[in-house]
This record gives sequence, C-alpha cells and structure tokens, in this order.
Amino acid sequence: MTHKLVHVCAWRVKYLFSLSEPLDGAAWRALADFWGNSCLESTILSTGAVLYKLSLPDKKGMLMGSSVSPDIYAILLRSEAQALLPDVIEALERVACL
Amino acid sequence: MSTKVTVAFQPVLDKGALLLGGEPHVVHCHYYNHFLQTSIEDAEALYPVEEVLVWTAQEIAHSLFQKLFAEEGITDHERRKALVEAVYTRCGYGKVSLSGISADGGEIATPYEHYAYTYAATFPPRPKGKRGVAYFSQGYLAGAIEAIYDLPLGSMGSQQTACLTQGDAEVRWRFYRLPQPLPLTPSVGEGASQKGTIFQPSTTRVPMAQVRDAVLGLPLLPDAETGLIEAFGVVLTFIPGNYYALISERHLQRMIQVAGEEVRPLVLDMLVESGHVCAFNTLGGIMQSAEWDAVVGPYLDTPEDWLYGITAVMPAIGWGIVGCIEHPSAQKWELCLPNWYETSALAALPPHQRKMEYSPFAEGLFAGIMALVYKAGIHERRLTFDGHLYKQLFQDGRVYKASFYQSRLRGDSRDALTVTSLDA
Repeated sequence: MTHKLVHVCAWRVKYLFSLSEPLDGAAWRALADFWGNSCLESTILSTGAVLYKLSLPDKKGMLMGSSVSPDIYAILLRSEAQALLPDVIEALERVACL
Repeated sequence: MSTKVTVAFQPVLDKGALLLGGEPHVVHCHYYNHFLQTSIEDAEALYPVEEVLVWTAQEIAHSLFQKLFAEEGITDHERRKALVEAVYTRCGYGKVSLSGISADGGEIATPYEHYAYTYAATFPPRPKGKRGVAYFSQGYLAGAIEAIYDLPLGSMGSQQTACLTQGDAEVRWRFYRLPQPLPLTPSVGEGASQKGTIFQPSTTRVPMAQVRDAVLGLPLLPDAETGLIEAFGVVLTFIPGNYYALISERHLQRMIQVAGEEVRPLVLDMLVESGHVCAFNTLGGIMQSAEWDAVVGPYLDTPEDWLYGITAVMPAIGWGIVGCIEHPSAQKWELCLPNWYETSALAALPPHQRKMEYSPFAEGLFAGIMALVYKAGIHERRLTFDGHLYKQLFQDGRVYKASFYQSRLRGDSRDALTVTSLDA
C-alpha cells in the first residue's frame, strides 16, 4: 500500500491510499469497527458501483472509496492529520490483509 | 411542533439544470465562493458592495420562496419558516432557525453558515472590525422573510452583527422593516434558458449520459449537525446560478460607473481567475475523488477522456450541457455551451442593462481544465493541490487561454469558445 498527499490547505488535508484491490463491504465495515463512533454510509450508484463514506469520530475527517477502485481517499482535519495518519494506515493495512 | 419537510432539486436533463423554486441551482465550492466574493468586496472603497452581494441574494430568495410556497400550497407562516430552514440546509448554506422572526423582522443566529465557517477554517484572519462575510445568507434570509409574510420585495432591511471571522462564536443577522422598499427587481428565474442534447462523441468510451446520471445520484447531502456539504475535499453549496451571474455583472457595471470603461479588463481578468480557482479546487477535487474513480475512472484511456469526463459532470451540477465541437488535443479544445447558466441569466436582461458580453468565468474554467490535464498531467499522476501547483498552472506558468467566438450575449444563437495553448 502506498499513500500520497493530494490536497492541502489550512483546514483540510487529503491523502490518497492505493491498495492492491478495491475493498468490499465487509472490509469497510471492519474499517468502521476500527474506530468507535464512526459512521459508515454506502450508496449504490446508477452504474452499479458502491460508494463508501466512513466519517471518523468528532468530525476529524472521512475515508472514501468505492467497490470498483483500489484507491481510498482520507480527508482529515489538518490539525489532527499528524495524529490520525498512523491510525488510518494501520486500519487500512489490517483490513487489506483480511 | 416540528414539521418534517423534504426538499428535492428537480433535474432538467435537456437543459443540464437543477431547479428548485423555479431557480436554477449550481454547485460550487467554498474556494470559488470566497474568491468571487472577496474580489467584489475588495471594491468596497469604490461603491457599496452590499448592494450587489446582499441585495442580489434578497431578490432571488424572494422570488424562489414565493414560487416554492405557491407550488407547495403553503400559506401558514410556521410551515413556510420550516421550508425555508430546510431549503437553507439542503443547499449547504448551514443551519438556521427562524423562530425569532416576525413580519417586523428579528434576529437569526447560527454557528454554522457556509461562508463564515469555511472562511474562518481556511483563510487567514480578517482585519478586526471588518464586517462579516455572510453577505449571501443575509440577503437570502431577508428575501425569504419577505416571502414568508407576503411582504413586497425590498421591504426588509438587514445587517450582519456578528461573524466567526471576527472571533464571535456565531454568525448573527438583524432584520427590520424599512419605511421605503429597496430598489430591487425580481429574479429572472430560468431566464433565457435553452434546451440542448447530451453530447456523445464517437472518440471516447466515456458514456456521457451515464456519467451525468450517476453524478445526479451522488449523495451530495449536508451534515446533519452543521448543514454543510463536504465532498471531494471541499465544501459545496447549491446556490442559484443567477446569483453568481448577477453579482459578476453588477460588479462590472458598478466598477465601470465609478472608474470608467478602462476598468473593464481588470474586472474581466478577475472573473477569468475565478474560473481558474474553480477548475483547480472544485473540478480538481472531483477528478481526484472516490466518486470520480467510481463513475468515470473505468472509461479513462486517454488525456482527452478526462476532458470529456469532466464535461459530462457539468450538467449534473447545474452548469448546463457542454459539447465538444472537435476532438480536443493539447493545443486546442473547442466547445459549445447551449445553456451555460451565467448566459441564461444575463441574456434575460435587456441588452442596455448588461455590460458582460460573454462568460469570463467559463473562459478561466475551461482553460483551467486544460492546464490540469495537459500541463499538470492529472491523467498520468496524482497531483498535490496546493498553492505551489496553483502558481505553476495559473500564474507564472499559465499556458492556456480561452476566448468566446460566439456568445448569446452578443446576439449569437449559442455560446462557443476555443481554448488554445499559449505555447503553440
């Protein structure tokens, strides 16, 4: 898994995590379980793809991905990003190995 | 008693428009919103900018809610207030309660208002003592209050009395009846809107109608607590397109009034720059997002597919149908815009009441997209969107320029423009 900073401003930073394959619904639920009080939403698009959005606790950020792409985006509060990034990496590595 | 209200935009597929209360709504992000507003606000020493930024919102909200109340058959003041509150949040403006409002006015306060919240979070502090940034909401709520109580347009005065950007804990406005109404005019609504056909070029696998339909189905919804819409790494609003078109036009008119025709290129350059800001932040954010990867990603074979893909998104965010006249290249991109939202607003005005002859915003926007693809190479590598990249693409290293060769605002039957490489 690799990651790259793709957007930075005073408020938010956006990281891209490239996995080897898309995460399925079970993997997204496992990601949600990693954080207590997170909120997972899934939307089935008209193309049949499923869009996942995992809101992290206390509005510190969100993870977004889909059933058709191995890329996951993490949009994090800039003030929290340093502390959150290791957790995001650990969570993604854990579910990618499931 | 709480009243459950549902608010839904009505997509008009053959126009590429999203209607609510007869007003075409368009999606923009907080970077564009602030760039345009701040650029206009910078002229505050030359003319009273509230007359543009606040009054225009008041006109549009008054027309919008008059129509919406009539459509829904709502005459009760409390139900009307509930609908205004629901629309305000659905559009991503934030959260407000109108419980303290009567036909004589009153106060509204909120910790969550799009312009104030995102400004305080994103930009350096404003000078102490400067007025708040919630111009749009101020006018919008004034117009909505007039509509709730069936008051004439312009009869409600307003003032912003607190702002997050001044260190206050909330945004607050005061509303009051005026002895004489302000000189406001009703919104043009759909204006001179035109129908078009979704464009499917034979030179790409990107399924234009399918992309549009998938984007229309994206959950671009406000957060339940804040009423703000976070998506693509930015904060989005659904603001009536007439607002953007008219504040741009009226700013140009006021500037020409006070400083003469020679100021026109300066204002137009600012509006071109607003297009760059939008391409960079809103469209760049979209092109590096989970939504883009899911909807458009599977069809992206060539750099040109990125251009087709992003133009397929535009009708779904209310900007109008976009057609590519010829297969684009790194040197040239030729487009037609049958129902560009700014043109449809301004073409509804009598010619002597407008100074704009085309959409400078669109020029900056499409030049900006070309720069993202062919200069920055978004199709072959993931970019880091920051101030350094913006400078590279649109300041020191600007390489694309667009120009309208047909414009409905000059009497042509459609808008058409060419983006060309300055290196060619």
